[in-house]
Amino acid sequence: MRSDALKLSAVYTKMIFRSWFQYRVDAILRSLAVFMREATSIIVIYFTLLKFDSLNGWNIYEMLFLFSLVYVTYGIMIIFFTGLRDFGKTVRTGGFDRYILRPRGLLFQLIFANADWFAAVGHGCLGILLFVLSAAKIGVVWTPARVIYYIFSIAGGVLIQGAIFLFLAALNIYLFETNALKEVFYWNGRKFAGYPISIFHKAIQFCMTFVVPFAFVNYFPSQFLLRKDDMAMYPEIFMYITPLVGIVMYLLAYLFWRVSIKYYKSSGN
Amino acid sequence: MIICKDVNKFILKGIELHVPKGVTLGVIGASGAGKTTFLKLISGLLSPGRGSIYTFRKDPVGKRREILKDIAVLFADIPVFNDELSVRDSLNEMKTIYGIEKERFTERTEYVADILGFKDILDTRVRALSLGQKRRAELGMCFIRDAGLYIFDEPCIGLDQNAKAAFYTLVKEKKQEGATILISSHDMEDISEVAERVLLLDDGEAVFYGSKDELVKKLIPMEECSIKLDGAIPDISDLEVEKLIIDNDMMKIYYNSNHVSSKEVIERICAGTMVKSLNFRRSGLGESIKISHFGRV
Repeated sequence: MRSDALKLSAVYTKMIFRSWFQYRVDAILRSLAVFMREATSIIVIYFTLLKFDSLNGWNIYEMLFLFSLVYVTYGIMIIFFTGLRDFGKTVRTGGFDRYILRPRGLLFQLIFANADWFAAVGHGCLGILLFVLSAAKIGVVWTPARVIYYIFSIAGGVLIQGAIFLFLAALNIYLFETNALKEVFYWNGRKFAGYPISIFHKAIQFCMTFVVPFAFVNYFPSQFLLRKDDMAMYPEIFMYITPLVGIVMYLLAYLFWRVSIKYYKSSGN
Repeated sequence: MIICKDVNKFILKGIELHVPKGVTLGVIGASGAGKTTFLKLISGLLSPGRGSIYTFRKDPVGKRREILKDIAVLFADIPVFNDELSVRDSLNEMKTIYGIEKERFTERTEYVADILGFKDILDTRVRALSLGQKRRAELGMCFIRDAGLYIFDEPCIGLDQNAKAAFYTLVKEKKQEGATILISSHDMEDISEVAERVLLLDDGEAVFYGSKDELVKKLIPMEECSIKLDGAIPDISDLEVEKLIIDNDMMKIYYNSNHVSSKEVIERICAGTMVKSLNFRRSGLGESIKISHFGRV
């Protein structure tokens, strides 16, 4: 990384803040809109789950804890990976060519020059609220070791989702349009991730563990803290390796990106 | 500075040329002739399908980050600004990316914004700017930097006469500083004031590459003769004319007076029909190129 990369990322952050929060009321309302949109779906799920005592041994607060991890990790992830989430649009509008014409790393520019702060605030605040509501009621004693584990798992979860976006962005170079794939692999995968994966069919469990490994974003880290009976269905080591899965996935996605970017073609005019 | 060896890409076919350092090159051609593709190849945005290109003696795609430090580029189809930010925000971003010293940056911003007339809109969100204001600010972004190579793709689109004049002034200044400048346009008039060399592209082929003087010698004097007829249309099929337009009783003949003399034209017309009036005019360079290479006025 260049010596002034930090300076440039600070310039980008300042610019993004100025652009997103130039109109404060508008910014608050838009963040609130994201928060309410996501919260509404959680409220619906909450009232549905109230009809059940538990789902495969998981009570309502334990499931809210699962959801909290999904939202917190997304809230952090989207600060860094908005440029990859919106990569298709950036290519179509010629914005990616603008990055190519600058003497800087393409991924660096995509990551630091874009951040969807409304999504970050909306998802992040909901994740924190769900954590606050559930953390005291799931019987976890928050020792320093568990807090550290939790932080590392969050970092791992951020990297896993960032890697999925990076992989899909690289795929965009060949396919030009990957919104449908993003819908299937990321957004649908995320919907499943709110529940303990043990309630699903084996095929979905496999997908959630090895294909789009959302299980490592929230289910297995939660198992470390909660030790539910259904963990017996999976190797115990899965509870500890979320950060490793994140790093490995991100490196693989990065390699795929490096190879793919050589095939990127600008239009003639 | 720039070397193209048998370059083929999209519509471009067998482009072979060498642009020396410090030259201002006008790239001329009709829409779809390959001008933007040519400039994108030079800047490293595209790699040639066949042949090779060297910019600053380097492969512009492989050494992208190295050569781009010294290139200022503006393409008509590539956005320069983030619409949600102000012009000043984007200028600050550029200052950091290219490591421009604060004093130099402030001085250049003042000067360029003043001459191009976008001083008052520096703190305006780009989204709120008119096309002309945006275009002036985009050009300003290029001129604030000190680069060895400037590439402008159709820079005069959306510019009024004052902004065009400011653009020419800034180009001339950079030229005096020794920079190499490439400017594309579909209209020769746009660049004839500053370009000393011309690359004429027609359907992807370089139909002319050389100095503007050579081009002028080759094409000029292109004459235009307008005749109001008072009789039948005369047959001049054996005259070597570049273009003939007949509209009711009006006849327009474009010819190169190196090949056909005006006297010969008058004699042939008058021998074949009655004439109400005759009018002669010498065409400009841009008009001459259009007539001789693209067959239109």
